[in-house]
Amino acid sequence: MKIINALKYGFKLTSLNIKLWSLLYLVNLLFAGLVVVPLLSYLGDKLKFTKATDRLIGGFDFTLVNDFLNQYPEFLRLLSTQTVVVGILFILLYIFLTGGILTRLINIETDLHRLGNFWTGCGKFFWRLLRLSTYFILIHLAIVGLFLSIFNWSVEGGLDYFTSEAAIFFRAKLCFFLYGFFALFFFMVHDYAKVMVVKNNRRLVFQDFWGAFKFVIKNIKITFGLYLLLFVLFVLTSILYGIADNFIHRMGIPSLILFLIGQVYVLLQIGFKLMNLGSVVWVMKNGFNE
Amino acid sequence: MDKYAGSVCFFLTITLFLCGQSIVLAQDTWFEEPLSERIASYDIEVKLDVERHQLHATQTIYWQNPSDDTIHTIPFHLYLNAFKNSESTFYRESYGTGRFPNIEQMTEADWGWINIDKIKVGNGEDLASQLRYIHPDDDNADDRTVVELVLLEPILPRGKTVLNLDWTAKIPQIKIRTGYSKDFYLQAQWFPKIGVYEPAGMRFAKTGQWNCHQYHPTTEYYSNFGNYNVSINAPSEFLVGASGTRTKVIDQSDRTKTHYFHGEDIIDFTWTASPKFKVVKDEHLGVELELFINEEYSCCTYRYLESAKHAMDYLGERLMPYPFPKLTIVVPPFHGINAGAMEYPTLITAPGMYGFPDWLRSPEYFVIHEFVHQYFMMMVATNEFEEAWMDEGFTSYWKSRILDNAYGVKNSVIDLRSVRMGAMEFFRSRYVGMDNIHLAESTRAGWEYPDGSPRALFYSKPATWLKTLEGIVSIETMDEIMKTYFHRWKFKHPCRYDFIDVVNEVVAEKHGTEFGENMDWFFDFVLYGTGACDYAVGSIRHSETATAAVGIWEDSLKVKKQKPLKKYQAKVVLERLEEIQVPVDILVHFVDGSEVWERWDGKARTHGLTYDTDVRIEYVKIDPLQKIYMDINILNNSKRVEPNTRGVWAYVSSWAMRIQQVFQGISFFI
Repeated sequence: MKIINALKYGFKLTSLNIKLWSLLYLVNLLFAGLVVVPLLSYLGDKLKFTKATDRLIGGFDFTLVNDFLNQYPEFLRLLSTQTVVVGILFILLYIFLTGGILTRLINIETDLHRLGNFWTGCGKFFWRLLRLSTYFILIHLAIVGLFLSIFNWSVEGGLDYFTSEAAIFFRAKLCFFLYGFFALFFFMVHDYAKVMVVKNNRRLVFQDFWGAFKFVIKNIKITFGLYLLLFVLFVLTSILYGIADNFIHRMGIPSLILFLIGQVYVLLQIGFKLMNLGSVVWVMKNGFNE
Repeated sequence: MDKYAGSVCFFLTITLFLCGQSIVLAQDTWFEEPLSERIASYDIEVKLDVERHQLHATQTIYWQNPSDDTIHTIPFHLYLNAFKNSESTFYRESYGTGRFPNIEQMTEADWGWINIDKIKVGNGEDLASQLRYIHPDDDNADDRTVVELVLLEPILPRGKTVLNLDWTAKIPQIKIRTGYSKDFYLQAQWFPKIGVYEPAGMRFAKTGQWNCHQYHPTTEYYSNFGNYNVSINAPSEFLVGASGTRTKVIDQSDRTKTHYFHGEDIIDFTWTASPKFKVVKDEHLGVELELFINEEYSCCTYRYLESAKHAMDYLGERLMPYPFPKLTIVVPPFHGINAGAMEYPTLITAPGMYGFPDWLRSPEYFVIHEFVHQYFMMMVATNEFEEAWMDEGFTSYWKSRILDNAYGVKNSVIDLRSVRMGAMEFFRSRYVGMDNIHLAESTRAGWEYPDGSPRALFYSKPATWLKTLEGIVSIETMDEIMKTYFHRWKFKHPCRYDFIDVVNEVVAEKHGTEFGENMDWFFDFVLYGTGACDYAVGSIRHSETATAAVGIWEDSLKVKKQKPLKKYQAKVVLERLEEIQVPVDILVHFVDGSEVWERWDGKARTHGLTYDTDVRIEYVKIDPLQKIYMDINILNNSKRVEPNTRGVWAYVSSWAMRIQQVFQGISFFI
C-alpha cells in the first residue's frame, strides 16, 4: 500500500509539474537537435541535388547509406564526435537541472508558483550533485568490472573446457542478470542520495551518500519494491513502444508518424523519471526509518 | 521330386542370392546412365582412431586415361600435409590471417599429416619408393601437398588402371575446413586424390597435362567426377554423416560400427562424425535431407532445412532439379566452427551459434550459399584454383537471388527494425567498398593476388557484374544464359571461355546485335580489366529561348498583347567517370510530370542531351532501374534542378528520435 501511495504521489507531482516536464523535454529535443542539425546541414549540402535520397523516405536504405559512407567517410567521425560532445554537455546540464527539479519536488506545497527557486536550486546543488554522480559512475564501473571478472572466472578455459557455447551464454546471462540487480540497487541508492543532498543541504555529499545507503537498506521492502515496480512499468512501456515502432516500420507508415510516436515515448521516459523522483520524495518525507 | 529336390534347392538358392544381389545393387545405384565420364572412382575403407586422432585406410582408385596420350606419372593431392609444418605453402600463405595460432602456441594436436604407406598398380609391387613430392605452383620444396607417382608401366591412351593404396593420416585440430575439435570430426580433403589430366584442347591445355595444384588457403577444388564407395569405421557412439547415401551400417565386435556410403558422379567425398550430433531427417522433392546438428542449435533446425528447400525450389525451376538422392547438412559445434561454411558433394556445412537471432539470417545465408555450390563447381566442375570467380562468383550471384526472392530484396540478410540489408546489396557493398577497387583482374589463380585473399574479386565483384549483365540483357535472357551454360557443362569442366561463348550465343539469339557484335567487350571490362563503373549526371542547364510570337501581323494592325509564353532549351550533360563502358538508360523528368527515356551507349566520357521545351526539367536519372548494379556510386546517378532534402529530413528525423532516446536513457544514470 505504501508503495502505491508513493507511486500515486509521484504521479501527482509529475502532473503538477507539466512545465518542468516540458522543460526537460525541450532540453532533450534541443540537445538532440544540436547533434542532428549540423549533420542535417552537412547531409543537405552533399545530397540536396541527388534524387537518390528519395529512397530514404521509406526508411533505411542500405545501398544509399553504403554509397554515402564510401563517398564521405568522414561523416561517421563527425557524427560520433558531435554525439559525444553534445552528450557530455547534456549530462552536465541534466545534473544542473536535477538540483532545481528536486528543490521544486521537495518544496512543492510552498513553492508551486515560484520558478526562481527552481533556478536557485539548479545552481546551488550543481557541484554537489556532480560529485555525487561521479561517485556513482565510479561505483557502476566497479560493478561492471566485478561482474566481468566473475564472468571471466566462470568461463575460464572457454571452449577448450566447455562442451558448447550454450554453457558460456548461460553464465553470461546469469552474470548479466546479477549485474542488473546490483546496478539497479545502486541506481536506486543514487536517487535517494540526490534527494538527501537537496533535502539536507549539507556540504559533504558523502554523508548523504551513506545516509541514502542506510535508508535504502533499512527500508529495503518499500524502496526496492517501489523501484522495481517503476522499472517494470518502464520496461512494459518500452516493449509497447518497440512493438509499435516495429509495426510502423513494417507497414511503411510515413516517418513523421514514427517521429511523433517516438516523441510520446521520450515524454513518457521523462515522466517516469519525474515520477520516480516524486515517489522517492514521498518515501523520505513520510518518516520511514532513517 | 525328392530326386531333384537338392538341385532345385541349389538353383533356388543361387537365384535368390543373385536376385538379392541385384536388389542390393539396384538400391545402391543412383543413376541408370552415368551423368559424367567417371574418370576417377574410389573405394575407401577407413578406420577412425579417436584416441590418436588418426585415420588408417586402404583405398582403391579406378582411373581412366581420358586422352590419347601415354601417361607416365600420376600426381595425387595429399592435402592433410598442408598442416604438417610451418613450411607448407598453406601455412605460409595463411601467415598473419589468424587461421593458425602463433607458432609458439602450436601443439602436436594442431599438426596433421598424411602418408602413403603402400601403393601398387593392380596387384603389382609396392611403388612407394617411386613417390616424389612436387610443387608445381610455387617451388616450395618443403610443401608436401602434392605427390607424384612415377609409373613403371605407362598407362596407354584411353587405358584404365587400378591403384591400391594403404595410407595413414594424423588429423589436425580444426584450423580451417578439416580436422577435429574435441569429439567432432569433419574430414574434408582427407584422402589421396588423383589430379585431373587435361587432354589437349580441354580448358587452357595446349598439350595433354596434369592439373594438380598444391593446397592453398584460398582455393581447393578441381577434381574428376567418379563413383565413391566408402566405409567408415568409428566408435559405436559416433553418428556419421557423409557425402552420398548410407547403404548400410554394420556393428562390429570391437564396439565400433562401420558405416557404408555410396556416391555417384561426384568430385570428392567428405564425412563427419560426432557422438553429440542429433540427426533430423526430412524430405523435399524426392531428395532425402539429413541434418546433423548439436542439441543447442535445435531452435534453428527449421531455418537450416527450409532455406535448403528454398534453394532447391529456386534452382530446380531455373537450372535443373537437384539430381542427387540426398543432401546432408552439417552444423559444426561452435568450437569447431572453422569447419563451417563449406561445400562438399551432397554435403554442406553451415556454421551454428547458440541463440542466433531471427533478424540475422546467417543460417539461411550459409545453407543457401553452400547448396548453390552443388550446382556451380560440384556439377559444373570449374577449376577453383585457377578461376575461383567461376564458382564463388556464380554462387554468390545465385545465392543472392535465392535469398532476396525468399526473404525480400531489402532485408534478406539483416532484417532489423531500422537496419535492413539484402543479399545482392551486401555483395555490391563488398565490391564497391574495396580498399582498392582497381586491385587486380578476376582471372588470376587464387594464390596469385598481391594481398593473398582478395575475396571480393572472387565473390562480390563477379556477383555484382553478373547482376549487371542481367540488367543489360534482361533477366529472361540471363536465365537462358545460365540454363544453357549449366546444361552444356554440367558434369564437365568448363573454363571462362566456355561461359563467354554461351553468353555470346544466347545474347545474339535473343537480341541480335543490340549490344554489339558480341559481348566480349563486357568481359574485357569486368573480367580482364581492373576498371570500375561510375556514371554521373554532370549538369542540367536551362536557357530561355524564343517565346510565342508577339508583334504586328499583316492580317491585323493590332499588336498582340498576350503574355509571351516561355520556352526553354534544356541541356543535360552526362559523364562517365570511370573506365567501364556500358549502355545506360536515362530518364528525363519535366516539371509537368512528362518523362522522356533515352539510351546512351555509355562510351564517351561525356554525353549531352538537349531539349527545346515549354517546361523545365525537374530531374534527370541515369540508370533509374539500377540495371547497372556495379555502378559504384548511386548518389551521382541523378540530379535535381531544385534542391530537395525531403528524404534526408525523413531519415535524419528518425536519427533525432534515437538520439533523444539515448540521451534520455543516459539521464537515468545521473
